Amino acid sequence: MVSGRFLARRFGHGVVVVWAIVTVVFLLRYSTPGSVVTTIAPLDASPQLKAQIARELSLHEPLHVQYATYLGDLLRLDLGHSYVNNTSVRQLLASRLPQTLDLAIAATIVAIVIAIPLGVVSATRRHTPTDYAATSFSLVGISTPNFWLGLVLVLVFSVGMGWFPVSGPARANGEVISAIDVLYAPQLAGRWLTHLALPAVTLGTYFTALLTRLTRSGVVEELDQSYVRTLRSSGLPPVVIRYQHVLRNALVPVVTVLGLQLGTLIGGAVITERVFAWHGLGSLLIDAINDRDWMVVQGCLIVIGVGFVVINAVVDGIYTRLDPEVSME
Amino acid sequence: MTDLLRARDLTARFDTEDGRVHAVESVSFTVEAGESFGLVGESGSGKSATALSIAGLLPAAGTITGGSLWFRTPELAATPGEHDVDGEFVDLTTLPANARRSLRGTEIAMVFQDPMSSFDPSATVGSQIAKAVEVQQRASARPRSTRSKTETYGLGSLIRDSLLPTRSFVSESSRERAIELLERVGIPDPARRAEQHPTEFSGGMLQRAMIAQAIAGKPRLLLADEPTTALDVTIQAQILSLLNEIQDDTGLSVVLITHDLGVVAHHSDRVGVMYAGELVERAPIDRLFDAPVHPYTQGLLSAVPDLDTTATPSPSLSGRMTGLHAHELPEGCYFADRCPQAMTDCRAHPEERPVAETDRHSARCVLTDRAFDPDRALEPGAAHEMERDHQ
Repeated sequence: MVSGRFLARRFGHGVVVVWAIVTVVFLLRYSTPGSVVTTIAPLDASPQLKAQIARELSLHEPLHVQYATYLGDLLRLDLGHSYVNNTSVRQLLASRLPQTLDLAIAATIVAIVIAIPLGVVSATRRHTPTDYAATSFSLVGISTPNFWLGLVLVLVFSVGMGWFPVSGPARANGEVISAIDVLYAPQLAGRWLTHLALPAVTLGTYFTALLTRLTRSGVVEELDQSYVRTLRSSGLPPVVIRYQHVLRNALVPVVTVLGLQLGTLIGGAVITERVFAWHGLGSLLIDAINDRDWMVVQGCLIVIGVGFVVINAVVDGIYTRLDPEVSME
Repeated sequence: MTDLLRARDLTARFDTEDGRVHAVESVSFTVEAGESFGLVGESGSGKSATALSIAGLLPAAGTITGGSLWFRTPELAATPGEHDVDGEFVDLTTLPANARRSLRGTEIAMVFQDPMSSFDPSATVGSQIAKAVEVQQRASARPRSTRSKTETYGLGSLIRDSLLPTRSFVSESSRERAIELLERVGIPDPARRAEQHPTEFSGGMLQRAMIAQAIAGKPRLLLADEPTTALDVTIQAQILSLLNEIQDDTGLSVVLITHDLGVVAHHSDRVGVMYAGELVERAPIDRLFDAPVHPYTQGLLSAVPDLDTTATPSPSLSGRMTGLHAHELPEGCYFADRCPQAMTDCRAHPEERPVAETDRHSARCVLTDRAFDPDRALEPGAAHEMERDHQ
């Protein structure tokens, strides 16, 4: 279904978009008032540090040479140095990205696992108590602010019931662990999951509610199509009709929103990360902005941008599986 | 001949925002094994609603509110259950939904009007036919008595099928059978066609594919709802002769629904004419064309252009069919306000009565047992005019 040409074209698009992102980020340095060095250096930077920054950015060179140096560094995955944390930006991102991915993917899985069956059930039992319960849930889920939901979940399930830790990521030997560590050491899975559960539910609730609504309305629309009657006329079990035909056709808008939301989750889970003292990309970005740690801001923006591009490419790949018209174009 | 289906006083209603619609009103007819029964009438006369009632596919707003549909299925008749049984016949209207579904495809199949929208656009044509084959294969693998109570396919196996690409609902043999079926209905290069999506088919080819899907489960009754209406005239003839051919081969019974008397003339053994939800006349095809009793049937026949005669066709029926909401239906004969032979007798609603000597010809009209009497004639269209003035 997915042709090599299609993949090559998508990859080409992706490269162009990533190039545009890194270029905009580069130009942002010069869009702020004052010299580039004052933009990049921390507020309390010493003159020696400022001189070092100027040297590293080859500020005495013309702009296009600086730009070429910058791109060259990026190609070598050199994202610069965090003067506030006194470590390389690459290292900082490498420690934070797994945490963010854990949370974003867990929230998405929560959303998919709950929202899609709920949306289908709700649509196939339109105007029954089940449907009203599902639609009420999605209304409440969409309207509940994350910080409030997070605190309530902590109060009830951590402080009250004591089922889950109050906050923070799972640690082993003082080191924060993520899904990758769990792959190598499966005995950590339980601890990892209990730490992940509440943040994932908090982050996933809005997402679940949104997807439930989308799935329901998509399935309701598809159920009225004539082909459903044809499939029923050949005696197919309702579950096959609903999940192999109706849902598949209703999924295109769902997958679109799923991709966009997952992209947002990578950079925008700041509130949930704060409530649960989660060491993710969102809180790193906000801290870096507060500290004027420009190289870190730049690194975060690039990672978030690249994340969006990758997710969109995957979404396009899924389209070709869902809708034959896409791959035939 | 043995009967396959006996509809007795079948009545169906649709609940709409404007009230209840009397879509099918006390309709009775019999379909014999191997015969072709034509159901004719203008749009909104209740033909499709009758077929959907038989198939158990009425939309959510529609319900069968009265009458019975006796279908000959000895196996199910011998199975204890809450359904009504009469000899080898089972009343479809009393069957639970699962048992009803187990009959679809394998006993009662349907072909729809618009082939373009009747296939899932995102699945290959072959896979959709293969699924119909699969249903029949799974059904014949176990006795109907257990089938009627349990799902043939559960959520667990569905999830497994979806996650493992090597598994799917359909087996390899079903796929091969689907290709054979496509070949059977005259689709060239069936193996390649089976892998294509509906958008890559023409309307006529897709209608052939839909017939393949309908006969995939080896049904005994095929409900063909306006199968040629959406097609070009030349293609129409091909589809009808394909249906004839399949019927001769397999001996299945066909209920052919159409607004076109020309279609039933060439295809059907007997015909029922529907008007405003009622079956107003039914007769063997020759009798209906030679000696129609109901003035509506006569009107329909005179509206068919005849190339053999030079006579000017009689004026077509004036006025429109009555609305089918409860408050719109007149107390007397539903056709009276358009009827050129309406009499004072028509103020009472007519019963369905046999026509003279034969019980195979009947009509819901006072003219079955008396001749038109001009002295008692109602002003033609009087009721209709009054209604319009009122508005």
